[in-house]
Amino acid sequence: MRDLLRSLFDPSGFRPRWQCGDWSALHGWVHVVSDLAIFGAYLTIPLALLYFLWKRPDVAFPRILVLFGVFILSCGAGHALEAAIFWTPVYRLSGAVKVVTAVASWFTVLAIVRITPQALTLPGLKRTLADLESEMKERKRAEEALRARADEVERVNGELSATKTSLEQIVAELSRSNRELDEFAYAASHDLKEPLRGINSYATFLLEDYGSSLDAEGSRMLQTMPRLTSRLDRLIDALLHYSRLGRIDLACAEVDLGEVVDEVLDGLRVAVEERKAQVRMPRRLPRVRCNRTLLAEVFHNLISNALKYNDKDEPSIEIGYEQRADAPVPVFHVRDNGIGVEEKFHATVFRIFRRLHAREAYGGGSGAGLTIAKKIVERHGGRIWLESTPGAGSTFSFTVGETDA
Amino acid sequence: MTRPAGAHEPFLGVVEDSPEDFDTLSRLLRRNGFQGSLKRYPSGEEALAHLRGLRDAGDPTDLPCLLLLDLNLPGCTGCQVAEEIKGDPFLRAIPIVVLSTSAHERDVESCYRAGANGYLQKPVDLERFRELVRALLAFWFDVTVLPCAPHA
Repeated sequence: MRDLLRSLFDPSGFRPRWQCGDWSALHGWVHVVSDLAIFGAYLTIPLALLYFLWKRPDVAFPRILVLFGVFILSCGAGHALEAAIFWTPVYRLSGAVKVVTAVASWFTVLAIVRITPQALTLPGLKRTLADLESEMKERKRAEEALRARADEVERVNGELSATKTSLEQIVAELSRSNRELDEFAYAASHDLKEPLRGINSYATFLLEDYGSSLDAEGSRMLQTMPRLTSRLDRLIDALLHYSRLGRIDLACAEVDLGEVVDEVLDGLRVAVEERKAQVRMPRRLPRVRCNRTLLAEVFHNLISNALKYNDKDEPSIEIGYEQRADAPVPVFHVRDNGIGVEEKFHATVFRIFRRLHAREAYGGGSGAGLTIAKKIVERHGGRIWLESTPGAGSTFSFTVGETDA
Repeated sequence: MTRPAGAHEPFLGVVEDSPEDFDTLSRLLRRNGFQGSLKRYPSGEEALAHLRGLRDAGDPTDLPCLLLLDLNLPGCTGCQVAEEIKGDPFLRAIPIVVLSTSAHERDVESCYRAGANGYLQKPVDLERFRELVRALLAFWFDVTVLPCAPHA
């Protein structure tokens, strides 16, 4: 390698160019200066290309730029050697450089031929600019559409929040009027009772003091009065209780409903024994967050109805629950084999003071039990419903806590 | 009801705006053995005026030995009457039993807070009213020693 380099730089066998031919100083220096100027320029061009490649790595066909750089550089080196040969005749090196230049130039030519069809498909700068402009216009249109959309969304949002505000006002108004209604029911029930007590007392006093001067029919009629006032009294109490259910603070706690049902059944023991009823609880009811007293009332009302509205010799009552895997809360039920309720009356039975049977049939009652049960269940966020086959029995089901319905 | 001979005649004050209710109450009291004197005040203001008059006269034995107080009165309510009486250093010795149609806990609590000594709910049903009056007489006149009892 060293020998090769040495032989390349060996000037032997040649003479410096000044000494070959009859050079005038001007003629010789025109050659030298021009060659050096060309070398300078040819050295600068690849540097400029390198700089360009460094700044724009995304340029198309970077390899051809490199080839072109090598070609230009070797051309430059050839010109530099031409100038040097005026003093040092390195014709061998000059030849080698020319070989390199020839090879590089032909590689460049080949590369250009190869990429020309590809390069022809590249958009010109002018076209690219036009494309860009139309793309920008398109984008601007899209942006405007988007802004219009955003304005629309904002407007709808505004409307929604106005609706929400007015709904909130309606809710506040409703709850205020509910409260007023409850207060009214409380005051009215209270004031209704005073004259009622007077009628009850005076009818009884009349019977006590003047009963002997009345005939049997007169006494019977007079005896009806305390009974009627007492019934009205019970109705007012039911109304009062119902109206208070809407107002009271639930104060929920963890409650063992199994225990609650045991206590309710304890209270109903006499009625259960009188009717010779079979009461079954297939499994113990779970613990639930609720108001204990109110849930006891729900079970009391449902179980005493199951006893009351039953014409079988052996009434049977089942108290149970189901917890479906996909349901958020258990569904409790009180099932009986009683007289049942026709489908068309399923909503009616929950209405206050609505009866489906004569007052004296099935033991009577205030006619508010199911309404109160419904109110209690709903206050707990649950719902109550009825499934029944007339003549075969009814099942009252209810949930405590939010339902999926 | 038995009473030792020579005992001071018990004086029962009844604040009641309804004449029928007073009628019923006094009849039930009498029929169940109450022999003392009965005085009806149709309003709270009249009751307070009369009691303050007795206080200023200065004889504690003239005061009612028990005051039955209705809540639903014209003008100042029974609860306010109880508050006035229990706020008076002299009159506060009078035991007050509220007799009201309402059993609302708000009423019950405010009456006891005002210093009432008992709270009874007036039933509509006369038989239950009769039992209530019997229990009232038994407790306050047979079992309890009242401030107007004769000094031994």
